[in-house]
Amino acid sequence: MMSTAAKTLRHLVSMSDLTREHIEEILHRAESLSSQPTLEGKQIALLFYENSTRTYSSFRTAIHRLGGLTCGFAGTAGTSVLKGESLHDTIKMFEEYADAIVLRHPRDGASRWAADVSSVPVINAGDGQNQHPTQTLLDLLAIKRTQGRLTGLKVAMVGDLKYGRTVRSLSQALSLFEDNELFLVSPPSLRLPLDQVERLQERGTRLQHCQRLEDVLSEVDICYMTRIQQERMEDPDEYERVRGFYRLRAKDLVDVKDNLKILHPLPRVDEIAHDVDRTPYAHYFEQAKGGVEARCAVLDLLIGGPL
Amino acid sequence: MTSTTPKSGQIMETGTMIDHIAFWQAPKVLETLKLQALGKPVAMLLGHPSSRYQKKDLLFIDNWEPDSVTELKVVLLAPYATINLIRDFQIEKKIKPQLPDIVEELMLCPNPRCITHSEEVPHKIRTVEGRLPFECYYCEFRYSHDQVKFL
Ligand SMILES: [Zn+2]
Repeated sequence: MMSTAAKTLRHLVSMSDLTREHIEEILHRAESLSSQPTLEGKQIALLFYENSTRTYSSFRTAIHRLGGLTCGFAGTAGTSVLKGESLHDTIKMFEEYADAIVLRHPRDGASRWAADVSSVPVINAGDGQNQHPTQTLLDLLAIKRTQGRLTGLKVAMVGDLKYGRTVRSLSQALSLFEDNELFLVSPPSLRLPLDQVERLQERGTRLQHCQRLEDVLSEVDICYMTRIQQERMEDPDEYERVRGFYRLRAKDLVDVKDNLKILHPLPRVDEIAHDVDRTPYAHYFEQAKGGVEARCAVLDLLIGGPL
Repeated sequence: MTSTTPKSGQIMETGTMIDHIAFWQAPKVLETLKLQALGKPVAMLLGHPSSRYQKKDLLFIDNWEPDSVTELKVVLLAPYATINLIRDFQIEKKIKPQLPDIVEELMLCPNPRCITHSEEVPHKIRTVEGRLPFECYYCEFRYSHDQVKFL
């Protein structure tokens, strides 16, 4: 049976396209789809203009698991893109024989443009620094699985909140659910931009800015760690100063809630020490594995046939 | 200088007075109007006392009227601006252009990584509420009045 959410969603370009009902529907499908051949006889074009092995293999696995076929390219070497073909023309080519297009592109906004010109559904697999909605959906899946809900949670978001697109999308998604409280842990120069803060507060999400992770670690249900890139910091000395604040070690996890889970969009550098992996709080590898299920659910919602 | 806005007629018989431009923004508005080639006389008043905004700028352009695109450009750069058409030393008409939800083929996205800069894409900028009132339809970059650029 087609849900109402499925009827209204044609492309997945940005998290701002999704309502709370869409998110709930996708997470529900992620839990209930195992290896049902809902993409049988369908061909999905994977157009990856830049290398992203993890996202590419995750989508490919998801499509094969649902019985679909793939075409396209991973990286532009040897393709007509190198000869200067526009994204517009490449989309027009592939829509002829694909039932959907999964697009990864280095330019911000490329997926919205592709969705506008395409006659088949477009799924954004990362457009520059802008959006990566299936990453956010897998983050939400990990939160739902470990906490049993997406409401009434205390979530710390740690690290680069200014440039990190995962933090921006996830915080927006959490603000669609009631009674969540976000602890924004970052150095002053990498704080969440004011317009983002305004958008979250408009929806009634409670926010607290803090500089030290240790101040909030005992309170939270989810600790979402991100990488601080040295080149983002205005002052190199500041980088050295702050990186210690945001380095999580097993010995920091003494006075924490039993249900605490640590998430990370991966790859990590040194913000989570390896000794954390052996604690019951580490969940980043399981989180990443949920990527295939989250992507199966999105594919099924957009183009899956009835069973 | 008195604290009341100068009567337009004290300056010109026919033309346009743009009032309520934010302090020190009039040079940018003037540049956008592209009047240089027309050779019209222009007077600019910077930092005039204003009861509402403390300080404001005004522009007086002799013997000239904006078209609708130019009116829209003025209000995109100066959200509180009013455009007054002057005839016989009097304000004949006050124009306060309404912002469309999407401004098409007029503004450039200021984000250098945006797809609109690398491919032939119709330019679309959304107007939204808040401190950063513009958002690129494609890359979702949010920005303020001082980053407005026209095609
Ligand atoms: Zn843009």
